[in-house]
Amino acid sequence: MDALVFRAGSLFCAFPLTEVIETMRPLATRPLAGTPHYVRGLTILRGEPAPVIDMTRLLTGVTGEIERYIAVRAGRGPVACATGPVLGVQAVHATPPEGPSTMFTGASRSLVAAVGRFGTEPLLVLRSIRTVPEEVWQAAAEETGATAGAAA
Amino acid sequence: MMQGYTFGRKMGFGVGITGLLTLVSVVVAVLCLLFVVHAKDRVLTASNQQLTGAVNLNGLMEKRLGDYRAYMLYGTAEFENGTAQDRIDFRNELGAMRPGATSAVRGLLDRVSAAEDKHAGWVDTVMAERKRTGDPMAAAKLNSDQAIPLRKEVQAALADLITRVRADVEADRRDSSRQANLAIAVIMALGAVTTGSAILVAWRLSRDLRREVGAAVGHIQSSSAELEAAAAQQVNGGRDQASAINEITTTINELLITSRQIADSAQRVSQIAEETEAAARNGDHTIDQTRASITAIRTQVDQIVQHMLALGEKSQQIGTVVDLVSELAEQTNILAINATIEASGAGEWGRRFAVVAEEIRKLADRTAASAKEIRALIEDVRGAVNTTVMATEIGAKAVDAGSRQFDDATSSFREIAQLVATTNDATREIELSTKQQTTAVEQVNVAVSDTARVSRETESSAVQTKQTAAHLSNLSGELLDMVGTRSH
Repeated sequence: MDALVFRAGSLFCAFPLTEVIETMRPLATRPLAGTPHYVRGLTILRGEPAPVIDMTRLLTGVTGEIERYIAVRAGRGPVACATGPVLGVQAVHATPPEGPSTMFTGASRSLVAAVGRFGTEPLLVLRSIRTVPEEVWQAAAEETGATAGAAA
Repeated sequence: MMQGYTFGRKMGFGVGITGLLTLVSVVVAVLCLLFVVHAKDRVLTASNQQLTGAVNLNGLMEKRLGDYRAYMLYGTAEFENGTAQDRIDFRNELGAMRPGATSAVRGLLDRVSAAEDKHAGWVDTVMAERKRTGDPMAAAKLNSDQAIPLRKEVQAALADLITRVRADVEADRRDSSRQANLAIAVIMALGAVTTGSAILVAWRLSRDLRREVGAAVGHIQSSSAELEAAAAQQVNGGRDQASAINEITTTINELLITSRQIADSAQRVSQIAEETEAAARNGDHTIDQTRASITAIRTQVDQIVQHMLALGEKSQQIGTVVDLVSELAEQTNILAINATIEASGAGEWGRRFAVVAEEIRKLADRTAASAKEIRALIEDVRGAVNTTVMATEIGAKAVDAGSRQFDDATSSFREIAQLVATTNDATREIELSTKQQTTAVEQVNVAVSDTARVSRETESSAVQTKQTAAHLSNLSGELLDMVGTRSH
């Protein structure tokens, strides 16, 4: 399986290439009140507001350096994942869901699809972002409405 | 009366009084003896002349009577002449008794003379009758009638004369004895007075001797003890002084050696100061050369700073280009990844394009890595340039400071040169003074040696003084015993 490999803090992670829209430099991001700690805020992806998820904070709980945004397809629209350096597209070999991923629970269980390796380091294969809270999407919709109103 | 006099004057006064009284006693005794001798001589003279003369008159009278009786018996011329001669002798003796005789004796002599004249007249008459008649009896008859009463009268006058002369001699003897007793009494009185005076003087002198001389001797004894103690202390002090002088002598010898060493050092310092002064004079030329070198260094440092600043500017420009290359490489990387993502959904053609895009991404990564390395190198170069510029500026400031310090050093050096010259003069003076000091120390050493000798002599004198004081103390004790003042 081809996946886009990147770093989130000290972890090596990968998105299936089918879920990735594009990579880009970090964009201007507005902080959003009342959201989980791993939500950095909202940004504009190709003219549309999108929530920005801090993957390092989501996966490790600590704050890391942000070098790239990876736009991925989520259920209600694209989501910008703030990551460390993007290492490229590679073919990854992931363990089936019955393997080491069974130890994850909660948000991590719904996020980690499989566990592989990248060289000698473990590699977390992520599935599409489904943990974005509803209020974040509502805030994004409100932002979209406000943006459309401002354009009219 | 004699309170303020010395014992010697008192003793002289007492002995003088005693001697004077003794002399008066001797003179009075001599006078008394002369008086007594004179009186006795007078008694003896009277006895010899008057009494002997009276007795002789009586004897001559008896002798004439004998010759007269012999003539009456024998009627010879021998007895007639003898009788006449006896009368002449009688009259001569009678005349010899008159000088020096008393009036009473002279009266008796006149009575004897008158009675003898009368008796002689009848004797001549009887003898003429004897011669004319040749009859002794008739003459005897005439003699018995007329001459015998006259003869008795002459003999009575002679007896009265002898009695009177004896009475006068006895009176003179008693008078001379009385005078002699008076002289003896006077001599005894004077002897008693002289003896009493001598006893009084002796008692007074003994009392004063015990009192004053004893007190003085007591003072002498205590003073002798103090003098002995002082002499002992002086002996100890002399010994301490001698040891101190020995230490001083040792110190002075060391000082002398040190002074000589200082003199030698001062001479060497003087030579070095002269050499230093010469070197200081030569140093002016070196200072000028050094100042020119410092100016050249300052210019070179300014040029280095300018070159380094230009190098930093060029490095800045290279960094800008490298940043641009890095930006392009990063953008290429993103585009290559996105191209790969896009190609993955385009089937077989997309996969082949994805391979190309991956190669482009790798190139972009290598470019970014190279740009990063270049950036790091440029940063290193810029850091080195900045460090060099800062170091060069510090060096320039140091050169400026060094130049100023060199100017100060030059001034100081010239002052040092002047001070070296002054030091040279001072060193010569020190050398001279040190030699004088050495001479003075040698003189002090001699003086200290003399002082040590005097100290030893003083110590010996102190020992002798101590012995003398002890001897004097003993003598004082003995003298106190002699004068009887010491309390037992």
